[in-house]
Amino acid sequence: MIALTVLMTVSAVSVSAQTGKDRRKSFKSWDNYEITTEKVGVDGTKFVKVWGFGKTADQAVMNAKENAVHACIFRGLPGSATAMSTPPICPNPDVLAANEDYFQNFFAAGGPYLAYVNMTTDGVPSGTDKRKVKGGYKVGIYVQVMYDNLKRKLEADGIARKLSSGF
Amino acid sequence: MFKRFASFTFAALLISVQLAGQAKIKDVVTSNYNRNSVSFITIQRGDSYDSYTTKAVESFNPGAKFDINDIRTRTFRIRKARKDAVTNSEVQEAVEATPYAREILSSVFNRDSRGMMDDKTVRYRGNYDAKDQDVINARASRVGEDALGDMGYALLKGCYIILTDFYNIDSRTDKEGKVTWSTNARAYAYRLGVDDAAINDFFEQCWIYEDDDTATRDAKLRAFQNLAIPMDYVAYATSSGSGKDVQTAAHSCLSGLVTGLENAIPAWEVAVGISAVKPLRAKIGTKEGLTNGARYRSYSYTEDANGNLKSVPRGFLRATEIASNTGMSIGETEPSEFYQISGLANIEEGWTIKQSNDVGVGLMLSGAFGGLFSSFHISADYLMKVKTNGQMSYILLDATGDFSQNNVSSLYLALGYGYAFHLSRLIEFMPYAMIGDDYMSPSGSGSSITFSEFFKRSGFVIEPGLRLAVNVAYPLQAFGKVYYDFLLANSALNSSYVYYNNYRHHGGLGFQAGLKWTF
Amino acid sequence: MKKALAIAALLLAVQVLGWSQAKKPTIMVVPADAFCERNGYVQQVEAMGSVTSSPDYSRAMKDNADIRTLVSAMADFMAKNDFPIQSLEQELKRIQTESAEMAMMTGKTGSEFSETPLERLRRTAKADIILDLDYEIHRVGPRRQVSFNLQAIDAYSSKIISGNTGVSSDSNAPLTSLLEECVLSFKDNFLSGLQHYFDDLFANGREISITILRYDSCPFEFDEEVSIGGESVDFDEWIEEWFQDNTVSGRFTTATSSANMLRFNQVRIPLYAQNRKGRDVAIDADDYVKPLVKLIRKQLNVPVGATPRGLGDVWITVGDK
Repeated sequence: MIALTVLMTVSAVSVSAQTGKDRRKSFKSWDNYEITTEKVGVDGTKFVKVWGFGKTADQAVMNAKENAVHACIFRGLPGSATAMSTPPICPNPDVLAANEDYFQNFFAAGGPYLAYVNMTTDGVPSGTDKRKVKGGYKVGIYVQVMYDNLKRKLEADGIARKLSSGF
Repeated sequence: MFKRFASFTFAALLISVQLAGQAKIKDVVTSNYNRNSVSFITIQRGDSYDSYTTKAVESFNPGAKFDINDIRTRTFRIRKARKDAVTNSEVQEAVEATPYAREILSSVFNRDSRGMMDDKTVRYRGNYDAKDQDVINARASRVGEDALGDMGYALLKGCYIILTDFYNIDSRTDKEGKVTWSTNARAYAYRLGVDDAAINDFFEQCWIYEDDDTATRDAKLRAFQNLAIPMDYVAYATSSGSGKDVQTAAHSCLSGLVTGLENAIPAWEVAVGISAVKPLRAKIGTKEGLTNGARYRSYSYTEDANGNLKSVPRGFLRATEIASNTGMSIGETEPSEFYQISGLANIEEGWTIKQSNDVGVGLMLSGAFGGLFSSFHISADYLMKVKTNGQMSYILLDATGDFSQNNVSSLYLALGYGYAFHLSRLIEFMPYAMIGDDYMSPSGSGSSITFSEFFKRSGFVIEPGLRLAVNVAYPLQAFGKVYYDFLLANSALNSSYVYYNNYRHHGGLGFQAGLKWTF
Repeated sequence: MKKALAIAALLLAVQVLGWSQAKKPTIMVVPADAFCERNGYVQQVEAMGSVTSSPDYSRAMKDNADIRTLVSAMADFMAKNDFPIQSLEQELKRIQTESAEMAMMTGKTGSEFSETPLERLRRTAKADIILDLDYEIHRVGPRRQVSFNLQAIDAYSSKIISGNTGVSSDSNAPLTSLLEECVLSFKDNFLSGLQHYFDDLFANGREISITILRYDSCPFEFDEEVSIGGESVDFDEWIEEWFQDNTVSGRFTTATSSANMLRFNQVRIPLYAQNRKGRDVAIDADDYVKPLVKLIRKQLNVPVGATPRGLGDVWITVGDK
């Protein structure tokens, strides 16, 4: 009985440690996605097409949304024929390392990041935007990122510097 | 005669199996489809049929799927006897001699006598072609829905001229003096050879602005006259038709030509993503000329580790409830409904479906045991209507003979109606009823007989029954039938039949098993 | 590594605290010369005896609704980032009144160094950053496309802080939509350029140029020795020493050094200096050289004058005012 309890505790601990570690690990290697600027979005937003991966198509859509916000914060958005490129809100690579807990929480499942992203794909990703790949699905969705709101939020939380800070 | 027919049918089945095997999809099938615009042009031969064929083509409407470009030169003449079709090179020569590209651009940009143009038509078409996704995308962008009209410029790449040629026009008069005309037809499709750069060049060189001075205007008018945009040959299709006069016969060929071209020009095949399942839905409808029973094929996509995209052909489906979507999209287009008719996997949300025309006719070859007579049967069915729940109505036709009898001319003709239910998409269960005519006479006595003689040698048959069909490898199905034949022959009306039949054929319970191929 | 980062962050925080009462740089949008010339917004100006054409900003702003659309779209997003844009129109009006007053006072300085309207504008409007805006509307048949070129220029050093060029969609949409699309297109890139510039400003100070000219009435040449506090030192070396002591991290470049002229480029001056009452005030090139002018005058007993040309360039004349 005692042995069983110990075993259960140990396994529970190892499971939670495992998930936490995975999450952290994924943060470090979170760079492998494609994003393109579709057009100049309405004021304060970025209108992009972003790809995501997941075991199911729904998970892939969620991943794509995360990627869109991630790109706006850390990677920046590439330009297109009629839209200039957008710089990342936090161009400094140290910001992630210094605020890893903040971003773990920010990008948690159902986390605050969702308030800054709005999928504009009509219904479900369809046609070539939904691909079966090894281990799951890869989907491309159209997304509006509330870039200005996101920037303001990160500024308010002390993650990003305001343009007027220092004056 | 029937044996030969049977072997021919088998051969046809085999050939089509092989064709289906060869037509492997190599290019990635996408769900991109944009409206095309067409102008029909009659090739005249300089004979008395010209006016009829021209009228037939002029009165033809290819349906809501196409926009029409009202161009000036709608006929041209190739002096050649009506007996043979004009050749590709003859058509090519004639197309090169006519400024079709200029005429199309004049029509699309509403060019007036002063050379002034506008983009009203183009913008209208761009708006009309816009899908829900385009509308939603436009709303997300700063320029907004005004940009939807701009999509019309891309549609310039989908301007076609269809040159129709009628040849081998012939008439037949039957015994009662009724004349039937028949003709073969061939259509050549040419596409306006423009890309974005060519369209920009056209604007730069030929577009006259209100504030242009006279010299600039004249230069632009000259540039328009010298515009060298080619018409590119795309495909051709053939068809034939008949009717009470030449015009009707010619007219009856045209929808067949359009279908033939649709099969030959990928850009004409409607494609769209599945927007919902249970039931299957997709946002196409009357605007795309969708009709009940229209067949589509589904495709899913896979990507390998190197990022190579491949479209994987999946099951077929048929349109059931057709949505009326002829208005401008506001982002909430009503979808049409579909029923999946083949494939082991369920069609999923987001898969592409692409038009894959078929005639909807199933040809069947079966062996019968019992019933009216035991022999091979050649029969056909025609799909009339499909419902979203998988219920289908068929018109049934049996046209066979009793191959088991020697020294007998035998012909069995039956027409019927069946209402099918699908237990699953692979298994179809159909109660049906047929009314038939069983003709029988000694061999060699069947040439040119009158109707009354025909009936004297016939017995009437009523056949209620059940058919169960199972998909083997679509479009090949295996089926079994169980039925009861009621032979209604009385010695007064069907005297010869009753006399000669001598209980060779008789009513009773029958079974059939065979194969069906749907074309 | 982490420790170093923490220290850097701390230093930054201290700096930020130190400047918390500081003045924000002012920004003004000005139509580019090329734009004014293309659209005929030019005026003939008589300067130094010859007639040259110069952009007529007031007419450009009055006659051209598109440029007002662009300016207000830019003012909108700059205001959201706490940087109100200075109105060029208001500034022009002010200059008009000012120059009328000035006209009555001419002759006081008799200066040979006349400023161009832009330089005068820069100086009087005291905009730290000039946004030089150029755009062109192209007709592509029935469609229009706007191409734009926005340069943010440091008014002190005349260096380009950030350059943004691009095109709008080619569309039949209303022109205002296309113009606003342009502004939204370059907005974030532009802001990031500004951020970069500010970071540099905080770290390395403002960049200006200073030219020291010798009049014939000056008793010494610049490469000659002079006596400073009883010590003999080359005049040019003495001046350089002053710059070494008074620039941020001692950063400046001696561009020209001759008997009659000394020119210093990329002179990094602190953003703020203390006034007589010990308060931090923002300074420009003119303010910056005041102590130097005083020092030369005091040490060498010669008349010294300073004439600003814009915010970031000042000419010091030795031997006469």
